[in-house]
Amino acid sequence: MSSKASFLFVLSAISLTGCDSLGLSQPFVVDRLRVLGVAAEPAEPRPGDVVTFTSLVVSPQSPVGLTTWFACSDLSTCTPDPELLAGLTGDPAAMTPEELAAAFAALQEAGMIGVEPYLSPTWTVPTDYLDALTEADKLEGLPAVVLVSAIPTVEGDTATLATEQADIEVAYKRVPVSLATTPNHNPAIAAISVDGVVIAPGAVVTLVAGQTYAIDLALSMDSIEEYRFINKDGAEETRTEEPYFSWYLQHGSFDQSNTLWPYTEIEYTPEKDEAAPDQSLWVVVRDRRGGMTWAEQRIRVE
Amino acid sequence: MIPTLLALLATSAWAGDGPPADPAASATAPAPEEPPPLTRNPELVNFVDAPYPAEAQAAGVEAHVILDIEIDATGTVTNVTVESPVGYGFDEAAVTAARQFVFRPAEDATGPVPVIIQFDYGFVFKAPAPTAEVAPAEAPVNVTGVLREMGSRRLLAHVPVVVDVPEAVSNGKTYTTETDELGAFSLRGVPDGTWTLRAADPSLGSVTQEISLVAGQALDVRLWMRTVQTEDALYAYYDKDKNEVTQRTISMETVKRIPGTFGDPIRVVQSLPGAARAPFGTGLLIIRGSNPEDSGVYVDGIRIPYIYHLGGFESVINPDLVSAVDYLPGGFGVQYGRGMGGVVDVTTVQKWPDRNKVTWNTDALDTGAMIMGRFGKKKQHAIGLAGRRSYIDALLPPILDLTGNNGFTIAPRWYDYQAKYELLGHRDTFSVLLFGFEDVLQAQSPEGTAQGTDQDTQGSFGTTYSTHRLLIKWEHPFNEHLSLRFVPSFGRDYASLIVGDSWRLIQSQWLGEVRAELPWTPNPHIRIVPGIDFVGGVSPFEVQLPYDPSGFAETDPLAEREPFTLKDSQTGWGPDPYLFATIRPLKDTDRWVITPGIRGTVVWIPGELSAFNLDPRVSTKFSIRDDMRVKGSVGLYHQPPQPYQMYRSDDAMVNLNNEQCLSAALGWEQDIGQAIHGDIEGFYKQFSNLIVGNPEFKSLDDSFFVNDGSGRSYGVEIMLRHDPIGKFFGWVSYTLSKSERRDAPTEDWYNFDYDQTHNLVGVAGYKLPWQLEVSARFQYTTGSPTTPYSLGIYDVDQDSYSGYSTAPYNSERLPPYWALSARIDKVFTFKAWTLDLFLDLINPVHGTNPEFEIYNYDYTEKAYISSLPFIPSPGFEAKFEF
Repeated sequence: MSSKASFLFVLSAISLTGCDSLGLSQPFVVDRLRVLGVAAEPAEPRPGDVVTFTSLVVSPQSPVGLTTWFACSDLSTCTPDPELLAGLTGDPAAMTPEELAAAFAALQEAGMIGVEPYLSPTWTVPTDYLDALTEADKLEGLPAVVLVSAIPTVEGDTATLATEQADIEVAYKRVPVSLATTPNHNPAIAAISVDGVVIAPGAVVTLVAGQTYAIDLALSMDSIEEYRFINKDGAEETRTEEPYFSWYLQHGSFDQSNTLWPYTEIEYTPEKDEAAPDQSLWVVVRDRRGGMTWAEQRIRVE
Repeated sequence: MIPTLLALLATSAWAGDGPPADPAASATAPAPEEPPPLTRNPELVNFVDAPYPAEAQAAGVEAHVILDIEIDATGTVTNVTVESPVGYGFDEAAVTAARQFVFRPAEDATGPVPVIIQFDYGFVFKAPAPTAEVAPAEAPVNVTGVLREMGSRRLLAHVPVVVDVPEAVSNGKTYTTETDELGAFSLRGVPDGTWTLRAADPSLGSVTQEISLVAGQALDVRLWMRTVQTEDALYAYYDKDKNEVTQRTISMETVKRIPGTFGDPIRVVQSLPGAARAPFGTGLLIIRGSNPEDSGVYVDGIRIPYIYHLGGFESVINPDLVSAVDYLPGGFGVQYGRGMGGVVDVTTVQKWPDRNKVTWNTDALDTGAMIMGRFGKKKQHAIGLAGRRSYIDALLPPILDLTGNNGFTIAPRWYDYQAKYELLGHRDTFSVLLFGFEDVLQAQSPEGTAQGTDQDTQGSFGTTYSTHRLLIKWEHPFNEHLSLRFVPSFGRDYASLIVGDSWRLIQSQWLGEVRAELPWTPNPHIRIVPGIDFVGGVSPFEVQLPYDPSGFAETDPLAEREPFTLKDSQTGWGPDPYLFATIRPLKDTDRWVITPGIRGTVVWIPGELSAFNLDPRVSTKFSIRDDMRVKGSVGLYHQPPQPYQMYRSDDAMVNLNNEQCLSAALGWEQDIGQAIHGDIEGFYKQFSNLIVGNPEFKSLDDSFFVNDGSGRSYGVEIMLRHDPIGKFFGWVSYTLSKSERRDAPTEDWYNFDYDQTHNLVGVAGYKLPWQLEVSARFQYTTGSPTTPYSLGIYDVDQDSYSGYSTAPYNSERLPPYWALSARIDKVFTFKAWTLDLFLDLINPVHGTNPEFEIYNYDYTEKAYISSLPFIPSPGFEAKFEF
């Protein structure tokens, strides 16, 4: 048997076995600090635009003390340097945004664009960002990279940040910068339903442990965008987005943790946690063009 | 008149045009040199019946005439002499008849050779029908019978038969006889009473039966003897008589009973020195630190792409049609090429049975059958047919359902077939072999279930690979010195990988191969073989991807996917010429053998790739004493790039050369008594021009691959084996080795992916009473290299983590592997067939060893994917002869 065939056989064996049976943690179970989503607004900026960022950071064990944001043109130049943070002086909580900006000046020189909760991440796209590209390529654009580091506090001490690399959650996202005629927009969630019943925004849903529920998601009408694309033969095409949804929970199980448009529904079986009857479900929607949104649904399990 | 082929005496065969070793001839000729051993005995294909001499008929006598028959390299009888004249006209009649015999010639490693055989021409007297006037001179025949072999119903000739009558013995009288050519026997005047009838032969076995004789009545008896197994040599061994200095030939039967092999002798290669343990027992050939694709697998001299079915459990050739497996871990001659690793050469059936034979075997994986026989007026046409089909695709789905699988289906299946025809009884050798196989693995998820986050990979997954070959073999002896071997073959290979609706990789190859040799043996001291190993073919392929491969350089999930389709075809040629000689410089031609040779490795793909290299090689083996030998080899080996590495879509040439390996080995062989043999061999291999991914690749205008890699491997192999003499057989194999690679001259060395410092294998079998046989296999190997990850960074757009390592590649190792397997066979011998029931206990002791490391989604936890757990595999093999 060739090495390729052997590899395929092993791959199949692993896929049948699954990580669950190996005792490894599952990606859809949020049991540690996670950055589940990062969204830029606008989703596809032009040179000179001011871009604001939001993130879905979940930390079920200890609060997040600091979230740093860096912007760069390439991931390899976007290495977070914890030493930079050590240069901060004073109590950021007592500073005004202007004072914070001054205090963070050195970090901003290094590409930092935000330190939450003190300085909201904002990035102004350089006006010459696309100057090296041809006019045609400017329509396709050039991605920037935003690096997000969520630093938890040390357990029992809300003032002390964790310093171990293993405790820090690092994520990155690409932000396509272009002069596209049909720039991308972030999708929007219209409603979440449980067994066909639409849940009011912010409402807590009471569910019975061990019972299976159908959870579905509706996007707003304009979330599935059509856009112009020039193929390799130079012909213009109109394409339609095909978003996918990533589902997360704290306890219980899903029949599948990813769904693809238009098959959005999942089956959810809640599990009771005596210490915390109130739980959350999260869903993150990606439109595959860099657009992203998310929602949290509070659950009370009986 | 009944002929009996008494024996083929080793001293009565000679090769080439040297003097025969016949004692009579040696009186006037120089002292004979010890000839190389025969690889095939002469076969009598045309027997001539001699008339019963009138003088003998009148005298009522019978006789056996021992003849010395000289047969030349074409199978013609050139001289017949009588060893010990018996008179009565028997000698003349036997000589006249024997001169008309026609044989298929004997062969040694050089091809057809002349031999002298000793032949027993038996004359059995048949008395004229008695008339009323003739009174019986002796006591009447009152015990008659026929002796047959159990399992095959074969009539057993020349077996002594005796009736034990204690009272008669005390009177100095015995009742003994011998079965005739038809297995019949008769005894006269056995006293009335109850006695033991016994037939016994030291080489066959014995059978006893109680008989009761009543006055005036004759008794007819049917005896069935369960014979001693006389199957082929049953073990893996170093064959010191072949040209290759490190050749381990595996013969059949007992090796089928080694645990975990699923009855497949080809898998035994995994238990021999130099072969690293393959992950999951997949059977990958990882030989002396080489990549699996560096080793070649041949069937009757023609290379095939795959040797094992899916999962590596069984080989693609039905074991019942395999007569030998040659395993060459290194230092092989120039007749093998296009590879830097080892060689596994499978030889299909060459010795055809006199009786038709049917086998049917079934185990946990598949079932297969084989039929073999000879037909024609002189039984000159031999044919063997075999086929096999797995049924795991039928068993697996319900098992998965039982284990809570939610509709996910996986259906592996395979089949293989072989058909061989050979023309016997002709001075030329002619055979046709048709064989092939197909393996399919299909996986299908329930509808509406997402497989990951990639829209393009949704749906089924399937891979198929198959090979079909038609091979013709023709050997023609021009004379005693020169012959021609011509082996053309034609076939098709196919491989596909289809994932979802968007991923399709399909490649097929129409291949024509010709191997031709012109062995010339001017004298017993030298044999020169020019040859050509030609391969050429057309390879259409189809690639369909959901995005342009230019994006490989930057895996940006936001990059707009442009479906990519490529349909093209490559035409390639590899006319490799070679020339080697076998030089035996000493008077004792078997004592020192030197095999120099040179091969041209050619690869030519018009408009894309052209490469040529010369591979000089030499090997030698010297017998210090009869029980002690030294051996060594050194040579260059070149290997063309893999097909996928040789393609460019534009008109530019592929800037790649053949990979190169300088290989050297030195070893010592020692016999310890008749049954125990030892072998130690050190090796060193230096790889250069290895093909690695181009670190500068940015677009399709760049080469995907470059020749910047290099490597080295070295080690010591030790083997101690006990031949299957008596009830025990077994061996211990140990390999201590190191294999490293680097991707560029300036980079650091790292452990080769399959590097295993220690590899210890022990195999043992023992025959118990009641036709029971137990065997066991133990293996210990160093854990495979692995690269630790210390950090995972989340790609928000891709929805996945990328692992980062702060340690060098392959700098850590998995825990060591060790496992013990066992097997028990019980053979039932019936009158017309035998049944072997077996239970193969694969990995009952410590089978779940780590094979791979797997990390969780964010690289903060890791676990091991374990090897096959305990698998009890019951099965049976039924053999019929008729």
